[in-house]
Amino acid sequence: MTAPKTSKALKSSQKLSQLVKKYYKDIHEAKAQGKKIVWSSGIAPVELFHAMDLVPVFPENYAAACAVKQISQDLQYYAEKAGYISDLCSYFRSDIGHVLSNCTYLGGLPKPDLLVASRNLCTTHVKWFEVLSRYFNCPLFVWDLPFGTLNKKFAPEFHRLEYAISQLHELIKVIENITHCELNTWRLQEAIFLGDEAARLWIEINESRKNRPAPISCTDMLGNLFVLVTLSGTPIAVEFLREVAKEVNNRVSNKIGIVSQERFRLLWDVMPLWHHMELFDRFQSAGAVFVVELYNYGRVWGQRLDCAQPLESLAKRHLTHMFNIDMDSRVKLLREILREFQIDGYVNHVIRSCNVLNGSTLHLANKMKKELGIPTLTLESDHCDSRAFAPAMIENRIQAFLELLEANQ
Amino acid sequence: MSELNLVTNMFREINDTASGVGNCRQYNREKFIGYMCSYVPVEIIMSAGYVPFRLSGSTRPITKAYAYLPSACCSVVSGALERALQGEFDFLSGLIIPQTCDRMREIFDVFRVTTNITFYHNLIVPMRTDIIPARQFYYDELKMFIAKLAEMSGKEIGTDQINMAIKNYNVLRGLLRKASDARISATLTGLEYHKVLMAAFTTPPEKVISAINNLLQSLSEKRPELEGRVRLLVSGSVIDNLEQIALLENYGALVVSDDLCYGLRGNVGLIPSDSKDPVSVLAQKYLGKINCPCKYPSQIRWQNILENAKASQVDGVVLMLKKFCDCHWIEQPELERRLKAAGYPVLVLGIDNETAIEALRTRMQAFLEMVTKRKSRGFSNDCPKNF
Repeated sequence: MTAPKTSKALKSSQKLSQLVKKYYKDIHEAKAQGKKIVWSSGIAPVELFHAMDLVPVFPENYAAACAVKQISQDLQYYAEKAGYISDLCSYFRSDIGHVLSNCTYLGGLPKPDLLVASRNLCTTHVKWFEVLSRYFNCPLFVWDLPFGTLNKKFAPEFHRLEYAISQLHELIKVIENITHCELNTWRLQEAIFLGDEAARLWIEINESRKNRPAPISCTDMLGNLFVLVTLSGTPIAVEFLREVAKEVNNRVSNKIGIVSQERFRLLWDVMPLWHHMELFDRFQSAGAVFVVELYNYGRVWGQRLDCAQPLESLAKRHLTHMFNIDMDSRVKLLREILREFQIDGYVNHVIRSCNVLNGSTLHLANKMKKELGIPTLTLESDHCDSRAFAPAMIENRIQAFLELLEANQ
Repeated sequence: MSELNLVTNMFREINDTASGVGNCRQYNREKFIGYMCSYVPVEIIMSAGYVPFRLSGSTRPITKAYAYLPSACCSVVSGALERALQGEFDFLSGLIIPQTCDRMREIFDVFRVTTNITFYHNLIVPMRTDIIPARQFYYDELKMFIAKLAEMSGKEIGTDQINMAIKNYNVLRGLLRKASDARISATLTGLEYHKVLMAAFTTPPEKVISAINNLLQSLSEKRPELEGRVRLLVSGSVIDNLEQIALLENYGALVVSDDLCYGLRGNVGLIPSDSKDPVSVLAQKYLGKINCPCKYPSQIRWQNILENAKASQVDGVVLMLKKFCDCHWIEQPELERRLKAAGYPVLVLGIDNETAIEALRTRMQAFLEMVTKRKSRGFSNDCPKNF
């Protein structure tokens, strides 16, 4: 089955596929040259890896790419055959399947020299990386970042920050043992500087979506996220995002939107259905445009960094994003987003195989619906397992939701 | 076995339809604070003058909770929320929900906004148990918990109060350990043990201490009806529907050991009760206990399961895993492999509280028949690899 084409609005975003291909080519070349490869969970101190000459590889990112390519089912079959039940995270099953089947899409992933699992979102990441650690007989570092609250300045509690930073020092020692190179603080500051610039651009691009019409599509944003996940801390990410920002600003000046008539402005909460990205086009065909994805705008990626305090700012980013803070802080952030982006409707993707997000986002959507009376659409499906996608049922719900938006206008 | 009947009756009273309420009626001078998960130090609750009351699910149909939960939710959380929404926990003066597994982490606010309980605390427990900074972090969290509890209760929670609570729980845990050992010597069944345990989770410690003491003294030296049975170790997260243990034992098995959150994994062992800084001791002991699979690293638990299986001379292991309990399910293939490599037959069952007992019966029977045959042929536990 070939992947259906999804519409990207921006010319600059269309360069992404070249960047992705180059990235996968580069990581294999790096491995061949003897560079050390780190496999990391998605929300990671990637700038630190780049600064310490580790080549970061992201199994979640690769699993998403495989879902877009429509090969996830084959991969998940291998994982399920090895005993991992189908209720488990479909990113996890896709990755295990990729390992067991020697998947060659984009060349597969080069074998790891180090595994880093950050517990700032889910426990599954750590359990998954423990499986990899046994399979590859490879060292694993777990960065434990407990859930907490935020003060008025969006800062985490002192003891939580201290715990996170102490482990970053431990991680640096682990990396030094692997690469046999000491951390160069200048290089770290440079990577943090570049990471901060990428974040600044990412925020600028996101903020541009407050304009009517919104200049950049959800599909562009979710695709471009690849650059922040893998390459933040490098000039490549900054260069790419600069071009995107430039084009976006131009579109804002000329009032160029994603659709000819923007009728409804929507929020999508978490991961998309990577296997059915054309679902966004279905909304767009009715003039409904997603202007916020919490997955991208929930401070998960694209938080400003401070090169004067590199470790502290990395730790803060991971402790204060939307999915690692208490519900009151989330509601406070979300209330602002809904108002500033003039959101007409809220789409809640209840991800069957994600224990951490399927409960929290449902609760968050319920709260917003109750508090603000915002129309809410709940879609039950999965990010990487297309078996959980029921097209007729989902189309029925979308139609009813669009009618509700229409009536509310 | 009159004392056993006493404990059984106590259990029945606690877990009947008016669960909790019945308990309060019986001990109406007591005030209760609810908690979920074995990483909540009950000593702190007790030192504030409350009786710790561990929440469990229900076998009754879920009619309200799914308005707030996704369908892919374990029955411990959905069952406990259902009971709370039905008002069964309205007698509680507060509820402590820790951050342990992902579901527990995200359920806190749902409980807070949908139930009638007025005091809530979200206790953050680190995931790593192998480093000193984690202990320091947990220590700080426990201090905040104590401050909040002291403010709510209006009582001082000092070193003396905590040490006194530690002493009480040392006695209770010591007795529970003896009750657990009575399974190994086949003088107590797995079902009876779990009934005692459920009573201990929800009853004022002094009441249950005297009942278990009497029970242990009254145990017969031998119970012929329990001899020669297939000896099993049951591993999993929470079994709050004891029919599932009863089913195994009704078909000729004896559950002599466990690796359960509502079981040996919840027993942190003896804690020094004369420390000048008992909070530090609690942080160390709770993080150092046999870990739940949602903690890192995992190996301590696996090693403990193998050691317990050997020490209690089991003939097989049943992995009774709650549906949607991801941490257990991710570890299951490797744990199963290791157990089989050590020579133990393994049965894997996915359960929730709505699982029809009949659906489990056939698989359990087939497994027990196979283990019985194997036993009669004289296989020892460490004999055949790759069974």
